Amino acid sequence: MSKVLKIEKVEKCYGNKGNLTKAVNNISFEVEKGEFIGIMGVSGSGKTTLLNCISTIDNVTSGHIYVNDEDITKLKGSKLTKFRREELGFIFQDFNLLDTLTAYENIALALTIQRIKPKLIEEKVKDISKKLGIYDILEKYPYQLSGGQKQRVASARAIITDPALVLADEPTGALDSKSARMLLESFEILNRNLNTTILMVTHDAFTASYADRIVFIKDGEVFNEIIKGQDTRKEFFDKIINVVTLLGGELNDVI
Amino acid sequence: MSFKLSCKNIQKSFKDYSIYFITLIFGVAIFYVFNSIDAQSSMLELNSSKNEMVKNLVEIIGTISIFVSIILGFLIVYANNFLIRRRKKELGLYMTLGMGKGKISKLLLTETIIIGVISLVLGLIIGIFSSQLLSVLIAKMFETDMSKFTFVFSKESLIKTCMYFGIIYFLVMIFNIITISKYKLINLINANKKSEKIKIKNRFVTMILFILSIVFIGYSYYLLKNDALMQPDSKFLTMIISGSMGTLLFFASLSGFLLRVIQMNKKIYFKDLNMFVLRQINSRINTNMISMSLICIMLLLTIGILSGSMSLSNSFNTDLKENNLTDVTMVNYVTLEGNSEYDKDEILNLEERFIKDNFDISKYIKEYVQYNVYNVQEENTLMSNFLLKEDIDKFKDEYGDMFNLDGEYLRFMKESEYNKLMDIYNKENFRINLKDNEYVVVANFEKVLPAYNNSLKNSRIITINGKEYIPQRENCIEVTTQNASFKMNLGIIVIKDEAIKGSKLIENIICGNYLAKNDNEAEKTEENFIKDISTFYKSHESEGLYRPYEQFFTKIIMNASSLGIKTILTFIGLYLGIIFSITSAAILAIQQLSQSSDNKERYEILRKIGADTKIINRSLFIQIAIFFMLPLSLALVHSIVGLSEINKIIAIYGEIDLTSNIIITTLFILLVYGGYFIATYLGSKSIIKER
Repeated sequence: MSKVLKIEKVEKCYGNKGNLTKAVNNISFEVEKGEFIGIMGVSGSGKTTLLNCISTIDNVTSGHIYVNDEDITKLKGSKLTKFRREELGFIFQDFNLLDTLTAYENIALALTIQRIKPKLIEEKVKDISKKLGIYDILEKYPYQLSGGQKQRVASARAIITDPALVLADEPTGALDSKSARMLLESFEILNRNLNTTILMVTHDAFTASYADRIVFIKDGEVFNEIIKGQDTRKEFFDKIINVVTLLGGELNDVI
Repeated sequence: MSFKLSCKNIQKSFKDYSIYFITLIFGVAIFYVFNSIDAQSSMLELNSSKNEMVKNLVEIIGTISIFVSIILGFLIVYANNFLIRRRKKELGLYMTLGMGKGKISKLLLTETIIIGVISLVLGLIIGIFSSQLLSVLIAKMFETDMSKFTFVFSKESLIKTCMYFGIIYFLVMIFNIITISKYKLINLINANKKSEKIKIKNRFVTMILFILSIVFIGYSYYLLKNDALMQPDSKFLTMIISGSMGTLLFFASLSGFLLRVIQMNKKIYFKDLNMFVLRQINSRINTNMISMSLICIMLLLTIGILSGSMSLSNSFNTDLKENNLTDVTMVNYVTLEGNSEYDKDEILNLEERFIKDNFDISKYIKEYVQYNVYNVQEENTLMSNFLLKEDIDKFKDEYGDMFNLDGEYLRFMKESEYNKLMDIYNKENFRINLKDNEYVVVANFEKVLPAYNNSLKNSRIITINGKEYIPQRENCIEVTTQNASFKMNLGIIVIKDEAIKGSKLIENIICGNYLAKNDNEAEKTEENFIKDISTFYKSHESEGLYRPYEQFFTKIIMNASSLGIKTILTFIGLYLGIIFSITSAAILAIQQLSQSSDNKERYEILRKIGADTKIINRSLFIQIAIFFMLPLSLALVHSIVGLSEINKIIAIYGEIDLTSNIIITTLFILLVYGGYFIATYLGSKSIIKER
């Protein structure tokens, strides 16, 4: 399998010479095509900083990030936006849907920005919304939707452009447990049926248990890595809890 | 402490709301400039009639200033309210920190005072300097030389400006206190989180509203075209109400209508960020529709006032020289009830009256011509019979009841007297030589010329006492027969003296020149003449002596009043035009800027899903442009329809080039408006810029 994402000795420092904080300290790992990877860590561990670096919202202090063998830390200006537009899909904790647009239009917007033909847009939106079970709510506005529905609309928007990598930042953070489960099941469908590569950042063990592999981060460094393999989700969840316990008390909000 | 906080707050918001501050400063400066006319003109050497004009002008400007201060007050209160609402979260923070409402009010009070003082000081400084330019303009308008330049400072204007703006700022403070007392802490803290509920109107309702708005506007245009302007009664009111309703509904439904229409065309709707822009506008138009309508009406007034005043002042100026060929005209309407000669068998003419009353006019008037105007009361000398029916109908169509020719008789004048008049006019080539059975028509009112000419070309025969007369020439002689402010000779038939012997005398007129060597002397002579004649007749009132003439037209008064009207119109046009255009542009600008900061999040989302800066800025530009263009476009349509109608009335006083006036006005508005537009776009761009 080809490597979609390769992170090489990435460092990110904040502050000045006198008071230097390393938010990300020498992290390296790889993600293969079609993988569903979770990144776990307590708040302040540097996982969001790492995500920002991968998503090119922030730039690294040193090290390299390759997406499909292209070094994105070297990208600038319009090339950067083009990369972000074409290779990445985002799912945010607070959905980030435009409240003036209907669900349909929110999903379509990702395509119009890429200047896709209107005819294709309709086809694609209908197709993806059926897969995610939101076909019936396409004409509704975000304020008419539940949290889970909003997040599935956001997911549809993220993957409709066929990105190389979908980045999900605490996608279940603002959802109740039932909606969270439904969303995660949608992720599984996307991952298995459409072979979407998903990188999900979370501090919630239950959410993380849906991933194939989990990278634990502590104080900006990779602390541990566990792979689901042939385990059931329950067994994998227990493993995660074990690591979380090892990581320390702060991560105690596990269901 | 609170003073320091106020200063910091102002500093912070100055960047975002520099447009508001600049508008305030402009407002103060303009207010000062126009109220300093009195002081500016006092340094010019003006004669008494021009001084009178300045007095009138100052008085009118004073009245308008009250109106202007109301407009500016509205702008300032509105803008301030907007700014306060935007600071909800900040105010909430103060309250959670334990600051009472009284303290917060005091904080805002301090801010208002600081802003007020800064804008007043800066505005006055700019005003005092730019008012020096005004004296140049006044000097030019009054055609006096500015031999020496003096720096003029008007204390009165300064005090007035401070007072008026002081009151406005005081009102702002009261409004602030009221607003704050209504706020609840929970709403303040959650102000940013609260997402707007988007009211989506039913497709059907939108369509109906849009059609209704077109119907309302169409109906008001229809009323306008049917003389609603000439009849300031219920018809006029209906037109205004229907027009305003239509405008309001238009803005209420337009965006929804456009959205529906464009949604049907998927190629446009799903192109770039079009869908986002349209939704954006649609979501805002509900809150904006009232202000949009107000702005539209203000722009309409701006265009109307500016081009109307330009048209009028131009038309007053053109024909003055041509219509004042002697220094003075005195008219004695002998058929007028109340005239001392009314209903007398033997009518004394002006000359005889002055001799009888023992008033020597030769002390003032060097030379004069006296002539009479007669009516011949026969069936065929009725205007309605002399002119062709189609010409009369055309008249009626165009002016309605303004000129009623029914029952009016043609006016006649003797050939000998006409020739004498032309002699004193120095119009040798206008002299005529009639045969026994000939007549000519003398007229210069543009609108009636073609009607007379049509009759003349048809060799219309006039019969007096059974004798027939035929026209000597096919066209009217275009000349005035007395002093007038514009070409208003509605037509006199000149005929052999014998033909109208014994006809009914209706007017007796003297046209003469003063005993004076130059303009200055003429002015003095006129002053003395008017003064002496009024004291003479006042002192002899008890003996039953009355001034022998009803009307008195002089070249000097005509020139002065036309100049006065021109000056007043120009100043009113400029004053209101500037105030209206900056007010409407400023309101739009403030709205758009605050919306841009409201929409910061939305643009952030767009950026996150991969829209690049270019495409985002373009969508922002389109959005702001649409908000600026909508009221202006409708105002333009309204004004073109309205002005073409108003022009019909003005055209009575002479031909006007309306198109060029509208173009000049539009350019002026585009300049002000365009400036605000660009500033708004740049400001918004920096607001939504990536953090």
